[in-house]
Amino acid sequence: MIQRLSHTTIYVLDQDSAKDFYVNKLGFEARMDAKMDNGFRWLTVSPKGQPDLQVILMQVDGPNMKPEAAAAIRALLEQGRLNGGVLQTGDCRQAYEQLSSMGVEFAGPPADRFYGVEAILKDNSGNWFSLTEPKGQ
Amino acid sequence: MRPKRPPPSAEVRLFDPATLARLSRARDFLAAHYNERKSLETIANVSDYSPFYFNRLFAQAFDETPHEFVTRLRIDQAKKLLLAGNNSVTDICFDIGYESLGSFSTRFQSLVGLSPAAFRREARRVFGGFGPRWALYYVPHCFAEFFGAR
Repeated sequence: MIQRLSHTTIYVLDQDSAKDFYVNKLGFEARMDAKMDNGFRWLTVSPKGQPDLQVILMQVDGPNMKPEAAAAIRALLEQGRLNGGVLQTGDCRQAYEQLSSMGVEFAGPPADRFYGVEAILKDNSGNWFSLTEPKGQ
Repeated sequence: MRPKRPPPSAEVRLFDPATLARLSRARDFLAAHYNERKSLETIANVSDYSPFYFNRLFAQAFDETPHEFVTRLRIDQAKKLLLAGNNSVTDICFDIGYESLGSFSTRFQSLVGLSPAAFRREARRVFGGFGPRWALYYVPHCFAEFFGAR
């Protein structure tokens, strides 16, 4: 039986600016940043509250990626069709104010949902995330 | 800092950004001084919490105690130094802040599954030496294969 998720991938347009966004705006922890002989760059970050989960910030047009595949992913990012997941916070409205003031793009202000308070944010590559304050926290 | 067992995940809490910022301030301080001996009081002072309360909040926010956090940073750094260079295990032990080779080796073995020397030997065998290829240790095989990094 599978018990835990240790790595997950987010495709990004530029790894330098993605690292800056996730670390300096979203407050993630930089975990691994190493370049291989063939130019492949292994770049991972973690939410500070989940040290055993690494998010791989994968360059869309990295080594061995076929140009047509990279173009397809790039197009999906530009169209806003890729969802990165759900990020959790203890206070969605406060986080929204804080992140907005830092230039993070939101689809709109936080809204009450039956499961909590939610706002939708976009990373600087075009991946959408739900920023959720779950009820009962 | 006293070692403490990690809290059960049910105890992990979500905090408001202001509280998290205070805790993160201390966490960043700890990361910047990971190879120095710092008392829990000193670290807690950075966040303006009492040591006991800070220790509890830190574990709830970050799913690891301050002691576990600094141990993780030390062992991660030890692995990189063992993979990337030729410094002796003893030098690495002191570089990352341990004051006893025995404590370091025991902790390394319990977290990595190999002694520091065995870890280095195994990495050298698998990755064919040191230098830029050391980072392959961190890349799951399927990713390295897919992206032609091997």
